[in-house]
Amino acid sequence: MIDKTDEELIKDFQEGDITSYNHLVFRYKDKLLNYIYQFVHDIDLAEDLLQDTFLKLYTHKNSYKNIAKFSTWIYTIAGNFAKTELRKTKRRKTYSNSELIYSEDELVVPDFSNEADKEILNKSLKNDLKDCLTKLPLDFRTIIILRDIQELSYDEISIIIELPLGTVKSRINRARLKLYECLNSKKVL
Amino acid sequence: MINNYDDLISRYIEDDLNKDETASFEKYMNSNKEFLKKVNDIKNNISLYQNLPKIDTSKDFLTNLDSKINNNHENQFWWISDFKTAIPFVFSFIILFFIAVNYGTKDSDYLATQSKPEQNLIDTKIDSLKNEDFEITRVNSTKSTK
Repeated sequence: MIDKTDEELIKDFQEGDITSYNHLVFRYKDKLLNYIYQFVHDIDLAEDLLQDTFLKLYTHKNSYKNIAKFSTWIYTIAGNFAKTELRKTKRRKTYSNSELIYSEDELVVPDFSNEADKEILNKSLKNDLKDCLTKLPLDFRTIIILRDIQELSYDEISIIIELPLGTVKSRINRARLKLYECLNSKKVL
Repeated sequence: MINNYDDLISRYIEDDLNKDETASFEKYMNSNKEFLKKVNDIKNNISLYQNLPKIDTSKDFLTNLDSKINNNHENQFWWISDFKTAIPFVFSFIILFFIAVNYGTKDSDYLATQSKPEQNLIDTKIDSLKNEDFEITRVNSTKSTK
């Protein structure tokens, strides 16, 4: 069972084998959680959205047609849930990115001479990476998450975001340049 | 001739340029230290994003998912459970409806029978009025002949 491809598992699930569904959940739960988390930056909310994703897989199993890879299909569902939630959150609340990312102690300029300080630097770098990613326009952010964090192929990304391969490649380059500018301005490089 | 080397950075990093493009890119990069730093920084950023700490689902994730699926399954058939609850009420309503309809029919029959004499009276009055008119007409005609 574990050697089966995603496409074989979803086919079995469509034919009524619930174990195949469980295998798909095990295979994708952590990847998709990290994917959704990069949009919403809230673990509990990310888990809720992940459950909605798997629920949709359960209830709409027959919507999957074996013309695309299963991974692109499930990433599309998860991405749609995450982006819908993001739009709702933006409508509900306007917050500054600094409020979202930093806590008071993280704003102190540290002296990075010992291990503890290195940890602070590491934490600060992580926050800068998150902050710059959050500041990117949604289409750039999506493509960075899919390519550089989830490490999907260009072909898969092209299907998920429904854009030609050439556009995907040029967009990722522009997104990386924007990240570079943002991180450079924070002087973390 | 390459106009903007910035556009090729990602393709260079991912080894997606052809031989000529790569040679031209590297020549430019080696002659421009700032650009070289930019390329290296972007390469480093990619690596940093790839190595961001990953999060795992919570211990009760699967239990919660299972509950969500079960709740959804129950919600799909909500009308069946509601219908079961509603059966006695629907049955009582139907019985009351029939009682009301039958009672109403008797009443209307009763009223209909009660109204017959009234209708007869009206008819009688009309008849008498007709007779009176007739008589008046006759009197008038008598007067005119005189």
